[in-house]
Amino acid sequence: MDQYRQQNGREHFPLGTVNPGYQEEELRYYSDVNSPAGLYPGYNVNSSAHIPLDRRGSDASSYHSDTGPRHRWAAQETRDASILLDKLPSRQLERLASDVAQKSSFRQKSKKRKSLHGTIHIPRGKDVSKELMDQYEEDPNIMDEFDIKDTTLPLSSKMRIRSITKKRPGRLKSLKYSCGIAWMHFRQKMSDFAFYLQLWKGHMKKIEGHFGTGVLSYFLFLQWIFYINIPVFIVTFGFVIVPQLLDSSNIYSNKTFTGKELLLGTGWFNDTIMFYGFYTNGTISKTYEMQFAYLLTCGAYYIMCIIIIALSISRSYKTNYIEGSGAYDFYYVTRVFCGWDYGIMAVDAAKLKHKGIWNELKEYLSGIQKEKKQATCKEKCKWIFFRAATNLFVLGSIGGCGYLIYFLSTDKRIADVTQEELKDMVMPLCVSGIILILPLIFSFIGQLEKYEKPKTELYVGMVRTMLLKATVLAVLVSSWYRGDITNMHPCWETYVGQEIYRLVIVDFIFTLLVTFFIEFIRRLFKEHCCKFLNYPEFDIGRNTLNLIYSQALCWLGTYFCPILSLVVIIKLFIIFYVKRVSVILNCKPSLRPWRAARAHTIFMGFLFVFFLLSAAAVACGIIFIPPSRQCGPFRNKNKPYQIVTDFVNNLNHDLTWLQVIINIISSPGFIAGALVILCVLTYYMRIVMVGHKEMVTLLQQQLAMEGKDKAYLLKMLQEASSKHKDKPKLLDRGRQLSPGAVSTIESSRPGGRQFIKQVADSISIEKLAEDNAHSRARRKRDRD
Amino acid sequence: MKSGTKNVKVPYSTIEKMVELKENPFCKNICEVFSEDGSGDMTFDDFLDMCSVFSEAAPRDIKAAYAFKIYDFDHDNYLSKSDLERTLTSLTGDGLIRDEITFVVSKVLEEADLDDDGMLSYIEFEHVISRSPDFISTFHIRF
Repeated sequence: MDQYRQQNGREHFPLGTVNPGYQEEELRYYSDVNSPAGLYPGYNVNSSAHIPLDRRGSDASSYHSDTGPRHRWAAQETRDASILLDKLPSRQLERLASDVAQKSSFRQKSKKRKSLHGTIHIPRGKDVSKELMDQYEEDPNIMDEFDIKDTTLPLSSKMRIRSITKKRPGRLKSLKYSCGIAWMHFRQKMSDFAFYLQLWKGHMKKIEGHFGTGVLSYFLFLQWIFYINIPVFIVTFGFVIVPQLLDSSNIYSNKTFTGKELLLGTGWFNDTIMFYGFYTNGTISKTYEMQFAYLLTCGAYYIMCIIIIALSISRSYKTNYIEGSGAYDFYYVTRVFCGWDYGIMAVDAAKLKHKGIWNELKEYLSGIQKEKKQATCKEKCKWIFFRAATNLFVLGSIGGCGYLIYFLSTDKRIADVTQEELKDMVMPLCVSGIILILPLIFSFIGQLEKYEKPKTELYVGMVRTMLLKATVLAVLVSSWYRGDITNMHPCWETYVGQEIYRLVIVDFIFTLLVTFFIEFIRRLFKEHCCKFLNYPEFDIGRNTLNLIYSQALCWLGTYFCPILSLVVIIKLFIIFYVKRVSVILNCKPSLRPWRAARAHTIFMGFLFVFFLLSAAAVACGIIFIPPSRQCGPFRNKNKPYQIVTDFVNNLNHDLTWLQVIINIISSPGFIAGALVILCVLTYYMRIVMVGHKEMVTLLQQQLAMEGKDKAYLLKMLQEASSKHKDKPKLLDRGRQLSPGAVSTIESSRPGGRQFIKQVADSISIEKLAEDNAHSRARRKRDRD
Repeated sequence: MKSGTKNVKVPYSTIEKMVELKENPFCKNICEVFSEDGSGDMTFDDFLDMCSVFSEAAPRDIKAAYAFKIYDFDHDNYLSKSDLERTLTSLTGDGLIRDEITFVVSKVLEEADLDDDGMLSYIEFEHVISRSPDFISTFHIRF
């Protein structure tokens, strides 16, 4: 091998070693001549036998008609074939690739490493560590930059290599190293610490063990939302709530705390830091202006959220759709190699997983064997009409719900209800009821519609549910902004905050009730009286969408009720435990596979849309709706946003340049220009992407062609070698020996390394270049 | 002490009873791949190796390399037809009949075998696996 590499480096014969296709063309001469005697140096290649490229296609196709030539030669004599295969240039190419890549990765630093599979050293021989050490002896410097952690050597070999290659570095270098090592240790400590801080590890493990990654994805999503609420709370707490608490001019109400406020958010809570109305418009300790603090904090946490969500959505999109694009052509491969969930630990779950994989494959197989029966025209029309009707029904019911909420928000009779609690609770109960019941109806309709793929049914159901939730929230927000409420209540922002608080609380209660009744009670029934019921399955989609809705409420309400994020954090914390207990006690794993990775992207997409909607709603409130006159930080302004414009206008005297910059940035011309530039950039990126895609398909076609060539050549080689085998008995004895011995003896036989080298020797470089140009031209013509 | 612990091996029969592995259909392969002498008995180092490969922090290509070794039943560095058949049998638990297994295996090869040699090399395996988003999430054990 080494020898070959050196040879290779000296002779500048890169094409053949990089692309097996080129090699094959040269090999073809010999296979056609069919005379192994001609393989020795001195044989004149230029003499004849250049097979025109057009024959390639015909040959390949002719022999592909008898379904797999390889099977024939493979069947003939497996051992022989495997030796032949092993001698193929591409086999050596593979070794070479990993060798070269490793070699280069010693020199270049880690950046490049990700790009190619090459650096992972698959130990082929028994003792790879020895190989590495040999390399080290050749060039002691390679270990400097080579990260031994990134190899697949066993730990003991890594340690051995490290102990051997340890040497005393120079003083400067040792300082550098010790700094690096200290930094590394620090990072390691931090990540260990973070590991301890990580919540719910044991629970996650248990859930994954019993239910697999599908159900776990719900809990991970819950945990993720829990985590993003924490910085939101810290920011609001630090910059808004604490300064307000420190303010000496606070007026607390003399109402007593009775307990029902927890549910209603009114009464005693009215005059606490919970709601917008309590915050002052003055300055705290003469320097801290509450107005700015309130508005800027609000802006800050929205920006923070958008950054977090955008980053994580782009990462998820990248792994699932861009890097993973095309993975869905690999149906069987992913079933076979990614089918098993390594996290499964429970016996039942493992049995179910076996059965699930079996089911899935079976279904797919039966689907293929049945051949899709063509639906008749009548059948098609029937389904189209049916689906149009169901869609109309769904849209109608969503519209109806919107109207119901509109009606409730305007109807005077509700305002006249004397009982305060009832009056306050009508709206949240209604909203939560709608959000609980309609999705169930939608999923029932989805089953009736009989989509071909369960995936379509799932996504259609999700889109409908989210449309419903968005409509409900939009109607609510518009009813708050319409003016009735702003006129009716002396401090309408506090009222809105209370309304959202009630929505959050009622949603929480409903979640608990649903968990209790649908999961717990159903299990009791199943176990004690109605045997025909099934154990409930954990509905990942519905539960996750509920989480998204509750988070949307939180984003909507944080402006009106700064402490809402804390409420949501507590709520999520409790929900986690309730769901965890319920899922382990009551549910059984589902047979239907859940593609967690892909569904995650979609959930993130929904979350992002809801975030944008709620941020837009709050922004509208800040920019266009006049604040209440008697309360809140913006009580003497026409619009909350006015403090910003006032601030900019007041800059006149001391900071004119800043004002100029702000004026330029906010001018229509600048914004239009920025938009145009963004559009052009997007367009350019798109063009590049399309180009790459075309390139990829071209290369794939080429690869397929090369594969056919290779199979064809293998057949020829097989024939040639079987003829050859009969004659020189002497050489043949080598085959009886161990494979290692074979390779030494056989290296001069067709396909061997020596053989390739001889071919390389005998072809002049000019000839090679000419041939390649020739063949490339032909190939291009063929393609056209 | 240090040299003493180095040579202690936990036999395969004990490791296979670990709760994380005992339901895994590839338990035997996993143990063999990670034990240095290929017998399935593990030293502490081997065990650490296994934990690190299955952990969340392990990079995708390391995971893919080990997955390849796990599915390579006969240790010849290629996933041949018999390897794939055995993988499938382990996965479905004897549910599929012979013909179906052969069919699925031929489909797998059709999809992933780029150079048409009737078996999957590591490069081909990695090419497919690196595009599957499910791989990272499923090839992961919480120890």
